[in-house]
Amino acid sequence: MNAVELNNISKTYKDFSLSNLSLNVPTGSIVGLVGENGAGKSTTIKLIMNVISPDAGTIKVFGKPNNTDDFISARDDIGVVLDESYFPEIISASNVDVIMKNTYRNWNSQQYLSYIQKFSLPLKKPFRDFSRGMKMKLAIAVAMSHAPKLLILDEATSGLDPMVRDEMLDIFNDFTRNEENSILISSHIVSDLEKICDYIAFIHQGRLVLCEEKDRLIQEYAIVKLTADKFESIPDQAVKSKKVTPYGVEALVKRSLISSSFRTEYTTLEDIILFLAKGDTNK
Amino acid sequence: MKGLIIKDFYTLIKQMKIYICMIIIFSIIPGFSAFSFGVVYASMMPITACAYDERSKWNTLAGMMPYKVSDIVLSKYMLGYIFIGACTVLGLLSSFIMETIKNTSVSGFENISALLGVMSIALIMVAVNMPAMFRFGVEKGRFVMMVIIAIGVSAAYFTDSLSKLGNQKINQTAVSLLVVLAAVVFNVLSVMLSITIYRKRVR
Repeated sequence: MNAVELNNISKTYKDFSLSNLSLNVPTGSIVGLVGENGAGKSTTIKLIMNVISPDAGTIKVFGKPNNTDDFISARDDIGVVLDESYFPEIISASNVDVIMKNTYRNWNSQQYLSYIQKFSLPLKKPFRDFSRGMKMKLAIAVAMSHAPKLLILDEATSGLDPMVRDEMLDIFNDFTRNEENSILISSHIVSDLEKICDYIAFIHQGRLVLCEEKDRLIQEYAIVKLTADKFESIPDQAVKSKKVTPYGVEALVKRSLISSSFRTEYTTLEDIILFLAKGDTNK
Repeated sequence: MKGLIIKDFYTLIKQMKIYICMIIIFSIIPGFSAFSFGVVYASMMPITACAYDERSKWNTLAGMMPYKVSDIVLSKYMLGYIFIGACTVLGLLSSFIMETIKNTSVSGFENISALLGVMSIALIMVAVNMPAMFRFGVEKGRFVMMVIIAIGVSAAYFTDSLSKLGNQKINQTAVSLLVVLAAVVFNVLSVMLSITIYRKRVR
């Protein structure tokens, strides 16, 4: 069962298009959506939430199409954190409690107030006086306090200091201890995704370049640094991307398709993403 | 929708204290002109709420909450209706109290129909302004609103002048009823138009 299913989604704007995107968020998992700014991550999230409509393709959330009236009530089970916290600047955390009590069916004031306390947020201070970290904490407190089954986080950790980011990632990890809960998190901070995600989907220029299990991805791909001559002996199908430098060739290769005689380097998710985004994909 | 209206009230009450006080004062000052000012100001409250929404990008977040587009649009109309309704009630109370104290008709309201007429004009203003706000945004929408008000005032002045030229006494009750009917029709059409505009704008 998938919490979210996108099938061949396309959306075209004047200066940007998302092409033929197919992506699943399996129930109980954390899927990281990674890509540069403007790659299409936020557009994908808006499409999932039916804020915008696709030009082609279908989207299902909790197994049901997201373009029906039923989806409005399904949003009760979805916690959303956007890249900024879009609350009016004058309202306070205690006002947010009243607003959300009248918005979400399952709003839990007690839980919300315990998050406010846990995050050391002021209850009466107007939102405009919050730092970015405090704003994001408030947004996360809201998203977590109406018993969501799915969290959709759009750049929720960007702009936060490492301590706060780590605190947030722990909360997200705890959330998926319940096997019915799932998370789709978009970020361009790959190290955050590497810490918590089960699957990684990489979107580049509006296209899904890869979507794989994170551990498998790190096991399967490796970086080799070779002279141009030696590089020629690597099979074409093993090379996913390469960079030619004055000193030789650095390539992202599929470990299983090259001889064990080649020395591979420890590869992080960030290395893989950078190679796929910036490297030359033609051998 | 209740959550959306509460959010607007929090925003407006905290930021618009003086403005809201003015509306209340204008509404309770006995006299037709002051009351008209109060109600017209009240009809502008949804626009102010839209401006705060735009500034904070609230609609992006609201679009992801369990609200229909019709809830988001209607909440702004409801806000206008609540403010206009409150002003009308205050105006009526003030008029009633003054008449009771002085035991005479000093309020300036010739009758209920005149008051209903003013309230209806305010409702028509809401109906005319809101689609422009949703289509053009608050900045351009305000300009469109000014143009519409100018046309409305000119039309009213022209009609009044014509009736004087023809030496015809306007039946105020009939006019008021006509304006009430127009307010209802304008608002029904306006809500439908705003929902269509909002859907197209965000998608």
